Amino acid sequence: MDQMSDVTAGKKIQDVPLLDRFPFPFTGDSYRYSNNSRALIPPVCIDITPEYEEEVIEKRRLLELYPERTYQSLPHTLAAQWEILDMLMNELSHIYPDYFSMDKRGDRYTFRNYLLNEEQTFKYGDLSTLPCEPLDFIGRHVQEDLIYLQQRDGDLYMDAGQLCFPANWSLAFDLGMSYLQFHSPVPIYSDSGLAEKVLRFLMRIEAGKPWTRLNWTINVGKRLDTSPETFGEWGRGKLALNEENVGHQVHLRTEDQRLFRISGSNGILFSIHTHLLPLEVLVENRSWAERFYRVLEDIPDPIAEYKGFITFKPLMIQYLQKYVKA
Amino acid sequence: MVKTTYHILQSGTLMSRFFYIHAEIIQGELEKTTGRVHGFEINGIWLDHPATFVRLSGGPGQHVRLYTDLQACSEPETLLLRETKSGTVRFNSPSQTVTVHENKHRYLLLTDQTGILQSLPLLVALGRQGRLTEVYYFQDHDRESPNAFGKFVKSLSYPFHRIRELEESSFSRLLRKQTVDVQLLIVCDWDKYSRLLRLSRNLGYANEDIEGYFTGEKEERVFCARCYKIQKKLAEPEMTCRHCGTSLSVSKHYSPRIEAYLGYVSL
Repeated sequence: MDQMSDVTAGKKIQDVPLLDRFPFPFTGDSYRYSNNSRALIPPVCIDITPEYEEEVIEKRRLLELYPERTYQSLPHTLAAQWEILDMLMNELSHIYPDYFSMDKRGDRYTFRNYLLNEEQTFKYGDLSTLPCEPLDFIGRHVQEDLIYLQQRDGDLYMDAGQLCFPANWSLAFDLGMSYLQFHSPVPIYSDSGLAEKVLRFLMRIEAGKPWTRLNWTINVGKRLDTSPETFGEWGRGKLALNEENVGHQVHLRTEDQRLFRISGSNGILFSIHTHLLPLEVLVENRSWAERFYRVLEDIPDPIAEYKGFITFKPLMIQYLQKYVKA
Repeated sequence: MVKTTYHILQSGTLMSRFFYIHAEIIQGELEKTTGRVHGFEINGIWLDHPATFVRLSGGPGQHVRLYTDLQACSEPETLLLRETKSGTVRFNSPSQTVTVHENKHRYLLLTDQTGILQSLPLLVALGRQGRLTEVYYFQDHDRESPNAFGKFVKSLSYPFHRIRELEESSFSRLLRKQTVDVQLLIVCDWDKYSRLLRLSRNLGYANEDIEGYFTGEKEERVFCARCYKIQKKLAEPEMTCRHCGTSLSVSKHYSPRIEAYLGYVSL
């Protein structure tokens, strides 16, 4: 990756207050697992937020320090990886022309990232012309985690991925698993028949008709990397919560997940853009505070336990209650 | 459990270690072509030893060949078997079976000393169907002599390759250069079976490309979420990683690729 010599670099992303752009995941006062996917309109995979530079730099730091944890691929996914790279570079240069551009001359590509002042020329399909595998390369220019699910044998297999900001799951462990296998730790979802239903839905996703859904969990601390590998570091934060710091420390964590058919390889690109919102900011929106309060009051214990907040759920409810109308 | 009964037509020893019975079905039906059974009854006497079989013909009057390992039998049992020339043999539905996919054109049988009993019926089935087959035999130590098995394989006109150590990089090269019409048939001990399975899946072999089962005991293992090292699973759900010293809470989350349960870091 070369530094650009011209002066077009250093574009600024427009700052929008977090509360105005945070994807609040609840549409009702109760939360249960469901197939809450909806058609993605417009069909755009990548979202650029004001945290872009900070998060992409953090991704790259983790990728350099912990390559096995953050990037995995099986050899047969290379063709799909090139397809994904092509698709995302096209999208970035068309949707965000101020931030990215791509020149194609035959199989010779030049990709420019004006936000980071970088330029890369490579030959499409020739691995030796990129500094890393295609999925890894394009993942280093976006905030999203990118997971590739290969469709074969009537199932979806997690055969490649760049995962820097996991919500307590391990790509190194889950690589190669089928859809039902990598969802097996999710209570209710995995043993109620819902996972099979969603799998059937995913396998029918058509090219050019992507889907999206929001998933959520709770974070203690402003930390995107909540990998199981580092639970020893971030898990302790739960033990230090109290009435004074809960509003500042506890974050609602939303994953904006998008699903695209990769037609040439017949797989699915699953992107995850993670957003964090501290409770103390969330409560500035009273209707969100009320709704979140009711969701927490109603949530079944197995879900709260799986999402890792059952021990401090009462503390969150107590904090939110102050913002709920009598 | 379905029991099938056969009329013994012929018996004998093979490679001086294995005993075989050639028999014709008189009751029940054997659906699978090859497989393994847990024990069998010979002229009313139950022998609690594994046996493998190959179905030689389908429909009424099915012929079957049953193999057992004399090394697993006691002296009186060996004597009983050697003297059995007629009568009946009975066994239950197979506990494990191997399906040779007909849409494949080449077959690689990967086996070791513990898998010879399982390989015999497979090789006979492949030979009778005229399938192109190669045998890769993993030799665990130098004292081991697979010459008799090698001769048996060669008598079927199949190439026999002896491999002294399952070296993953060289074996990856072998698997990588295979064409899509190859089927892997793996019958080895748990350690080799799990490594071969992992290797072939990592190289993109799909479920339908791989058939087989492991011999002996399966060792349950734990993958440490912190250091990624694998170790033996203990009876207790809480354990300490013997590689990095992290306290682990062993989950039910299982990776078929790694052949291990995930051990989460616990505080």
